[in-house]
Amino acid sequence: MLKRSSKTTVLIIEDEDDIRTFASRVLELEGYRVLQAVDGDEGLRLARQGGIGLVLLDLRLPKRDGWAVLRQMKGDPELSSIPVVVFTASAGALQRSWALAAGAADYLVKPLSAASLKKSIPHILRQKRRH
Amino acid sequence: MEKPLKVLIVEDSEDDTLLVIRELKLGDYTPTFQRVDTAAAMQTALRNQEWDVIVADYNLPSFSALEALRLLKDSGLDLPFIIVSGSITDETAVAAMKAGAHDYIMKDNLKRLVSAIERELHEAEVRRERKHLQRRVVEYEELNTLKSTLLSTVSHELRTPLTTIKGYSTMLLDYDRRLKRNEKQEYLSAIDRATDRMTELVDHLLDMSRLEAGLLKLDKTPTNITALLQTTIAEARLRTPGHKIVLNLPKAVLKLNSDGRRIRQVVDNLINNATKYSKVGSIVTVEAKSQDSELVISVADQGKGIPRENVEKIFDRMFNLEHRLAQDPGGLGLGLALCKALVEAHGGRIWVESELGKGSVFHLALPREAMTEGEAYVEKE
Repeated sequence: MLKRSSKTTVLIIEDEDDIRTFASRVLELEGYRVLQAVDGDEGLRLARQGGIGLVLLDLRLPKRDGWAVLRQMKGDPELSSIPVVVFTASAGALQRSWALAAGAADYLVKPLSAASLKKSIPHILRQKRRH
Repeated sequence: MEKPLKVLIVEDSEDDTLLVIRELKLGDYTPTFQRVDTAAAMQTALRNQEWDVIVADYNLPSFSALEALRLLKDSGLDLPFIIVSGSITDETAVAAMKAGAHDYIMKDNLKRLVSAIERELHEAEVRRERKHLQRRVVEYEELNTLKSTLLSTVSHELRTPLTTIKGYSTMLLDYDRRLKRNEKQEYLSAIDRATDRMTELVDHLLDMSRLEAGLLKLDKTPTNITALLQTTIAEARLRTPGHKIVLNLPKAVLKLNSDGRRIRQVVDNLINNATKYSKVGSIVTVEAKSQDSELVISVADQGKGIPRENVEKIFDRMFNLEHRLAQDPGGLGLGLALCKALVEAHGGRIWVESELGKGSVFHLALPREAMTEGEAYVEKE
């Protein structure tokens, strides 16, 4: 279990209002701090402000798409240690392997239940702590 | 056994022409022919008639076989081209073959002409067949690409509203007691909207496949277009309160024999695009008027406009599918292709005028076809 005293901040980068609200609300209910961005540019800006423990990233985004955000983050020494979980409607196996090769910590395919979303996060954070 | 043959003869001499014809008759052909000796005459002949073979003299006073070959190439036709000449050097023969001539025959050895024509007709047939097959392969490949692009787009587009439904419903189930009442209401309406989005998607797909199978039937009845537009706009205003939607209608009631449901679908689609691709707070203007023998409906937005090179392609299904995933606003991208098909099914036209940075105006013109007696219109409502 996560210690509620040291809340992890999750940055959600997602352009669809409903999906962003869903993910934010579930993670808030699970005790995380949540920051929201509606496009790739805003997402990167928030990530650079620091304090982010994990990024939940949609791939199809306006302005800078999720692939570009992922590449930028993994190529930036300041940001590369933040685990990025891809959350996408692209179900292809190829895309999945590309995303993992580009440094994504996990690849979640939409649709997703509240329970599956909530389960996927602590697992990644534990992995990160071990490294 | 008669073998008809349409021969275009590039030749200045009547006598030599008759020699060629005589040779063809000896070879059991029944030739119909035309003699040309200028570039202009040859172009006209190629444009206006069908030919089986071209027989050309090498040197003419005001024309030559090489020029004739170039004209043939420019016309895009693939016809056997045989040069007949009195004198020949190796250089000219090589030059002619390089330029695309199929054979080169000496005037004093004309009996070779028939066998040369027979061989070249066969070759041309083989080339045509091959081209036809290549075209079919390309078409098939395009269709295949379209199919897989469509599949992945549809899957992606279905997953988005499904995510809303799955996400919110499981959240409502799992966290029921921790959610506030108004919050629950909000999630339930989001689920409701998502199912509408999916229904629209499925309807579009069905319409498109019906159109392709030629199964989409119009249900034409006398339609009050004025009333139809008023209702459509009233609902669009509720849907997108952020935009100012203006409706300009003439005083006289506009009527048309049409499938009102489909016309509405088209106008709805255009208004949705207009609001989707322009800033909140900007104006969308819908206009309708009678113009000559057509009823013209226009939807204008103040959005970012369409690049000139895409203005023609925007109604193309393939184009929209290919560009869809790269663009932000959701949807299947079949909307405009469907609009076009529906307008054309009415015998009408759809087009767009657009200026980058200023906005786009979509027009659809529907023919005010002659009404049958039984549908006499009352011009006042």
